[in-house]
Amino acid sequence: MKVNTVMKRAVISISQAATFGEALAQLCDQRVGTLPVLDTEGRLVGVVSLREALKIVLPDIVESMQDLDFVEDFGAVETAPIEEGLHRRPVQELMEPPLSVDQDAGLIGSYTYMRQHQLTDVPVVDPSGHLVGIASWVDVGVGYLRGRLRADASR
Amino acid sequence: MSPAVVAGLIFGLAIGLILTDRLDRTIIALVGAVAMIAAGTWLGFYSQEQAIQAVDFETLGLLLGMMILVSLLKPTGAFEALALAAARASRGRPAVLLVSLGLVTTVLSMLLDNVTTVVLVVPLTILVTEILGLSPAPFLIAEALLSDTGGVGTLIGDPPNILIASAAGFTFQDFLTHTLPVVILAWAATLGLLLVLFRRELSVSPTEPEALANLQPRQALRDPRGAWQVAAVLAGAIVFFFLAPTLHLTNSLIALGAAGLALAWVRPKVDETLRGVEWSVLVFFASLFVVVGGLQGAGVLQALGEAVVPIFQGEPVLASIGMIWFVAVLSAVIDNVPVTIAVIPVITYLGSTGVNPLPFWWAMAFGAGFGGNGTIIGSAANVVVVEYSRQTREPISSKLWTRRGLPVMALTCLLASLAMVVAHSHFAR
Repeated sequence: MKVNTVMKRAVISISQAATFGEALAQLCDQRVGTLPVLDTEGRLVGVVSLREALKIVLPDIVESMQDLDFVEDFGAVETAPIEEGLHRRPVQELMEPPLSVDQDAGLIGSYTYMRQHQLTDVPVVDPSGHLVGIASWVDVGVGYLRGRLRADASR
Repeated sequence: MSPAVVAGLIFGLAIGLILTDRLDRTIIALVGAVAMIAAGTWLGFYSQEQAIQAVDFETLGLLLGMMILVSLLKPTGAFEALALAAARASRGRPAVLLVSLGLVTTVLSMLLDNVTTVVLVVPLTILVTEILGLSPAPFLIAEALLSDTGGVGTLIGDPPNILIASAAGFTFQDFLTHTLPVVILAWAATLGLLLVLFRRELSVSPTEPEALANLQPRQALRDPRGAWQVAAVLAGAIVFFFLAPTLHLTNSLIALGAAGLALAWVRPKVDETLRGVEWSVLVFFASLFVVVGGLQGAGVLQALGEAVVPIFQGEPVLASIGMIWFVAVLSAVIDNVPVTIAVIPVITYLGSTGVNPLPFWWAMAFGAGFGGNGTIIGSAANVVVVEYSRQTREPISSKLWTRRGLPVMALTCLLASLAMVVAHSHFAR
């Protein structure tokens, strides 16, 4: 089974000309965890993930300290506005590399790719690099299990 | 080439390479030690047996014992709990926070080495300042400066003190009666100066000072039982450091005994605990001893001693003050450990010529400890703090350090000089 049979075709994405602040707003408004970044011709050039965006916005110390049970109130870390400079930076400077799978990739191949790169969603591209869809961990996992269950039923 | 020239070249090259910071200092020292023994054997000025005799095992044993205790105490969360309690007590007032965290840093640095102290206190300081929405830089600089300053107060607080104690035969009490009073003054003066220098940053009102009231220091204490066990052993060791001269015990024996007792009591995974020991520091020390032993074998240090004797035979108070500033300036540009190891044989030689060496030992302790404040590379604690600051919104620049650290170095050295003037007879016995 191919990934293009389980992926979502309506993808929320952002232009590479956008700012990091606009990307953050898009993540929040659309409640998505992965935002593909596209060039003017719709080719995938990068990704902004919620996880990496949080790492950028949170102070490094919160990321680097493993055990923070002793803090009940994070004060300004929670309530201070995001720095203006960070808002205005071009998304191209802060986006992650355009990890993606080909539309003809199989489900197990997509699964192992996502596991290897610790992705929760993977953009799906055509041979010329144009974004054609996005598949989540759930899409890929459920698609694969469904196939196996169907095989069981037809036995 | 004469032995003196060869030995001097090996030493100079090693120090030069340490200064460039291109290669790890431990590697440089180890290669230098091997080169010194090889050259000494070949030219007949230094043998392997002499090299082994040059190693000060009293210093290495004391360092190893204390490192094992620290390695046992680290995972318990005791230090974090202490720093959090101090932060909470400040109720979010920036100037009070600087003083309370500074106090914890100073007290810890008197018992532990300075790098360990800042590694434990600095991450929590950054966290607390982020919670308050303040710039962490003033607090971080203050902690590095106060750990350098505080370490001078006790025998175990700073590696140069351990080296000096071993060479001069000073006891734990000697430091409490000679360096500690000056350190208390220097500590207060440093804090006062920092409060003035950082007055602008410290006058900012945090947006949510009440957030600190919800810090839970007890939660940070991950292993209360282990923390009490090691703290009890550490306290016992300090009592024994006091009694060492009466009981005819060496400090290294006490430290290693305490480490053994704590290991037997806590029963940790020993290989994990030993991984926490800073072996590179121990190898660095051992190698430097061998290198400087070679200088002594080749007669370089004796020649140097002879050359400086006239200076030290003159006005003793002035000479002591000169020693403070000479060692301080050297310690600001090079690591203070090689400086101390190299100057020790010169002072020992002075002692053999009839000059009273005691004031010079204390002068060296002040210079080596306070001198490190002047530049980022002046002490390992400064380097670590600046590294940590790179994770924050406002990394500490060399320029900022010079504008804050250099005045502190000048002030503390000045206080030590004044102490030399006022109490020279005290430092001479």
